[in-house]
Amino acid sequence: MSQACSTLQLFLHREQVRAFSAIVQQGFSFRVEAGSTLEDLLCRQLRLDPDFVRGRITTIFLDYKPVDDIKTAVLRDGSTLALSGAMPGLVGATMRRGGFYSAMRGGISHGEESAVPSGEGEIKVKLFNLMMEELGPIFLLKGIVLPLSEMKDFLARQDPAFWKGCSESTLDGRPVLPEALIKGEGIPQAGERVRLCVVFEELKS
Amino acid sequence: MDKILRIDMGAQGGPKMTTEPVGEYLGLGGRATTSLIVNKEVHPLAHPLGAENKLVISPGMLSGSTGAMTGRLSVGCKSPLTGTIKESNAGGQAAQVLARLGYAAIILEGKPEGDELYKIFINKDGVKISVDNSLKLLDNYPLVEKLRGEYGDKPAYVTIGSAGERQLLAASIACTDPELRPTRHCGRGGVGAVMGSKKVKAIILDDSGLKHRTPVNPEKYRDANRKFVEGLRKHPVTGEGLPAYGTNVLTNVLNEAGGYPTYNFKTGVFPNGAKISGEAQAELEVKRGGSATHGCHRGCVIQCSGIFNDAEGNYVTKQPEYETVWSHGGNCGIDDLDVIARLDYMDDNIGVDTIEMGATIGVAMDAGLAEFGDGAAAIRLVEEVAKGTPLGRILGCGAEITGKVFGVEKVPVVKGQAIPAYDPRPIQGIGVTYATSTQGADHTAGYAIATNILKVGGDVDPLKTEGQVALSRDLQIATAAIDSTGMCLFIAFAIMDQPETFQALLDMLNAFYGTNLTGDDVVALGKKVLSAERDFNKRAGFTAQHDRLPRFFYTDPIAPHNQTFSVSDEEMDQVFNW
Ligand code: SF4
Repeated sequence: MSQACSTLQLFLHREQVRAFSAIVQQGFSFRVEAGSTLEDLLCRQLRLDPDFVRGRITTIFLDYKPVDDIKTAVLRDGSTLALSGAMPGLVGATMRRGGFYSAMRGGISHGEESAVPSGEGEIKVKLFNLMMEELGPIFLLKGIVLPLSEMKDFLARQDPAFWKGCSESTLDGRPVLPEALIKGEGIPQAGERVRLCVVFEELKS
Repeated sequence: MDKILRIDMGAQGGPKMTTEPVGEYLGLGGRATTSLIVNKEVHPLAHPLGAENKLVISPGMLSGSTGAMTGRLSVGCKSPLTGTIKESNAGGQAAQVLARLGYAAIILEGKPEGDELYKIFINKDGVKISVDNSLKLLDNYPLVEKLRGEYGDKPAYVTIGSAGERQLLAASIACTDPELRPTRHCGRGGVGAVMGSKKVKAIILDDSGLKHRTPVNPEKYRDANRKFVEGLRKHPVTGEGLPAYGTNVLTNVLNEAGGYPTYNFKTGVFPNGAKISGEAQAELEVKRGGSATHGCHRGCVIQCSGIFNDAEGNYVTKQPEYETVWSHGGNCGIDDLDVIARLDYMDDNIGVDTIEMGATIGVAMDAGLAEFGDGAAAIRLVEEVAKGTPLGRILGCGAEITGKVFGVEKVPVVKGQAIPAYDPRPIQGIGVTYATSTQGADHTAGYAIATNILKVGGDVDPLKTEGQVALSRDLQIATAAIDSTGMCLFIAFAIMDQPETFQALLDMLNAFYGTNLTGDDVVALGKKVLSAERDFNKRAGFTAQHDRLPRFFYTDPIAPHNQTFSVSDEEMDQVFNW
């Protein structure tokens, strides 16, 4: 599924992470090692602290099925992965991984995988609620892939405060002006997708 | 809270009030008080809108104290929507004020003849009941505005809009929030219609000159409350998720699970769910100068609510809750938060249950009265309810009646009450609660996810099918108990995961009343309440056959998981087998 595409890199203030909330909720494409477990993706490929994974990413869906065990859930090329913090309500508790009430949704739980082909792959990732700000910068730093039209819409709808917080922008390594990006001029018209990398700087007081 | 105010609205010569000692209801509150009184005093075959029905209003056990989260107000009666016993509760300021005035309950009984409309004013000096026909057919916002002109900004107002006066079966009872907006509703079961049948338009509660209720052991109470608040603040759901995004944080997750009923329960995923998620809602609220974090009563430390403004920054409504965003949103194919907020305001103003109203519009859309996704048409339909047109009266009587009138086959109700925002096919466990609840379909009936701490049902094997039934039983018992304390149900997350927070809650109750309640006593209270409710329903003619989901949940699989509801009737009949 992976194909070559241009890379847009932005250097942004940390507070601009909120601008990406619609994108990360709706989902973006992300390159992974297909055949690897969810635990491998989170703890090795993304280098998240296992305590963080255990304590904060408490609700996970893989291909619309609630996951209980990240050690046995395996990523396929083309999978959809959604990551969320703890949810309210009985149903929120029901969806919690390995939770006391997981039986209440037993029929849709993610089960054991049969053999999954390994190799280069791409999945769709969605980040919800607390995970938007906690994991968004990590995925964005590694680079997410978006359809060209979505990328253009995103750039066009950003307000001046966003661009004020952007200290540098490059396209395939060459500087590109925000004005050009806003007009959609900086992005090549060819190709259907763009890779977006964002480096968030710490807030300067 | 040592007295009960009883008002016979149908007495000869006009309403007659008496004050009596709290008696056998001493130390109880909320749902325990309302359900035990209704079961004892209301004839189970009474017409819900007749003189024999009673409306019981009760604050929680700790309401009126300095304790956090203690402000739920319970309202009980025989429901005109379901025909069962009903307890419906809301936040807002009313419970705190009523408790400080010393009342464990207000009982409205009888039914006046004639067309006079009454208001009831209660303060430390007593109770005054007066006729005020100038309030006729006012909706909640203008009604409270008018009453504030007379009684000022100190009281808490408990009111009905035009829907309650018209005795529509989806009518709610509104309670004002700290900003004196009628945004908190005892929504479910048509309790507003019962208040309307008693011809009571407003109850004005003024605690001027009164102090907080004093615990038997103030120091221990303060200490336990501090630990309780600490527990709520440190838990990710009550300390982070709910304050940041409100209950609508569930939209994305339910959608991802394929359990988000869409287009009147036809599919489990709403393609535009992210546009109406709690995350999107919070962002919009903050951007427009509203707020994504707001308490519905003073003393709430979770603050799951918010303020929704329009694009110009003007107040529209309080932050619509998940169930409202679902019912008027995805359930009707509507993906516009401004339309949903407008509908939420209209529901609050007219005084109807947002879940019932949204589910009804979904059924109406299935009937061809509007297209799914047509927000303007949904607003027009709710306007019909506001105007009291014949169509509006049908819609205002809920999903079941609307389905019958327009010949819709698939109507998502149990015992006449609309099923809320979680599809019972992928999440079978909640289907057991919908079907067997004493209240009709109700997501909060089995909400108190603290059963593992309470150990209400002994050890449950969650991997067995019968585990669904046992879990539902335990959840319903725990919920009945928490509803009786008058605490907001959202405390359940922190007390489930943190035994010390559950202990702090028990310590608060014990320090306040000088008792030695244990977890077992809380379980016993929950069982006592449920037993009373079951007893009433049985005498009202309800049998095991009523504890079922509508047939289409058993026959029509729902995407994306293509599941049907599969818990057997025999298993379902074991829920109340203790
Ligand atoms: S958590 Fe929400 S519902 Fe509960 S008391 Fe606070 S604002 Fe009201």
